[in-house]
Amino acid sequence: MQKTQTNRLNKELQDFNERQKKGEDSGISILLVDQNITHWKGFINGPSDTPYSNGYFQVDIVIPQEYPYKPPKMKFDTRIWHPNISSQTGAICLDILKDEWSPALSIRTALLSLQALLCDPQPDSPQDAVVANQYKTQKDLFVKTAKEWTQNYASKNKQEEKVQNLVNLGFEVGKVREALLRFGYDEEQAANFLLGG
Amino acid sequence: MSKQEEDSKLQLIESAFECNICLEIATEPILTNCGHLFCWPCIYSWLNSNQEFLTCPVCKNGCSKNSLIPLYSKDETKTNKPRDPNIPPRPKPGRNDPVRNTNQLGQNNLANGAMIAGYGLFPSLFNLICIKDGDIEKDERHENEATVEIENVRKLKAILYLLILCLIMMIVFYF
Repeated sequence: MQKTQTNRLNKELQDFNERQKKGEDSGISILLVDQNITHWKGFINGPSDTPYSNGYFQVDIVIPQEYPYKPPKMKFDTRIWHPNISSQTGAICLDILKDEWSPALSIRTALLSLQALLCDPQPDSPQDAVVANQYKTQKDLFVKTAKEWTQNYASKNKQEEKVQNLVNLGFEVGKVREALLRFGYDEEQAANFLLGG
Repeated sequence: MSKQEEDSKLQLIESAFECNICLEIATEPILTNCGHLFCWPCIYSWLNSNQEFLTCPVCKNGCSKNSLIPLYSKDETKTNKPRDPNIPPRPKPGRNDPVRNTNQLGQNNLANGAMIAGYGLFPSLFNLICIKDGDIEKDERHENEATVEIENVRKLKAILYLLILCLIMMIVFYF
């Protein structure tokens, strides 16, 4: 990896931390995975007044070698019911993560855009056709499903419950949290990882 | 000023000259014509990356390598750092000829049509002939003012040539 890229990522990280200290950017935060500057996890609090409120969504962020000339690769680790996010893979359909990327943007602004996307779904450029169709034709059902998914996969209580379940199986708390984080709170995958590792 | 105030002031100054891509103080600083600051190597890499449209990373204004304006500081040679051999030298700015000041009061103020008789009639007339059309035409920024000026010069020139022709004819016929 180039030195200039490492410098820029360190600057972004520093900027992020400074803003967190000042209390700006409510609702987004980040962590490095294995202290690796090219693999981050982002966290987005579900905006209030949306079906995602009280949810805590985890986003996987991989920095490509060409960054910042190419966008960061982002996908949701936490399962979410949203027209522009695949309900199966977490893949995101957002212009600035594709053609509209510019090197003047950053991981921080991309996360803020994701937060905005949760507030304002774009069913006309869908990632998940089933969800988008439901959003357009059966809005009530959409809201209900999205709320259920948030409750099941993204709520803090549920996540704590999963931590507790795995701890009860005899794994160490720290390792359990790490594994769950890695797999977006998918209990089964995390358990398999813990058994394998 | 306390040390802390000084530091924060310095930080403010530094951040005003940060490249919008690498977030460091711009090296070989260059401006887009929309006024955004970059390092030359950074904007070069962006304009050379594979994309359909070339735009300014900050404001998406159309942007090409030819429209960039380098920023030269006082001691330019001292700040030259070792650079990536794959990046060509920073483009040089376009050069303009000196622009005639139309507000200046003086003898060469053609736009006002004023001729000062201090040097006699002939020198000032010959002055007119000596102005090459190209001198004024190249100046794009003051195109409108310049065209008026050129028109005036052309008219005067035509009259002058006619006069000289008549004079020669008269002399020829006289003999």
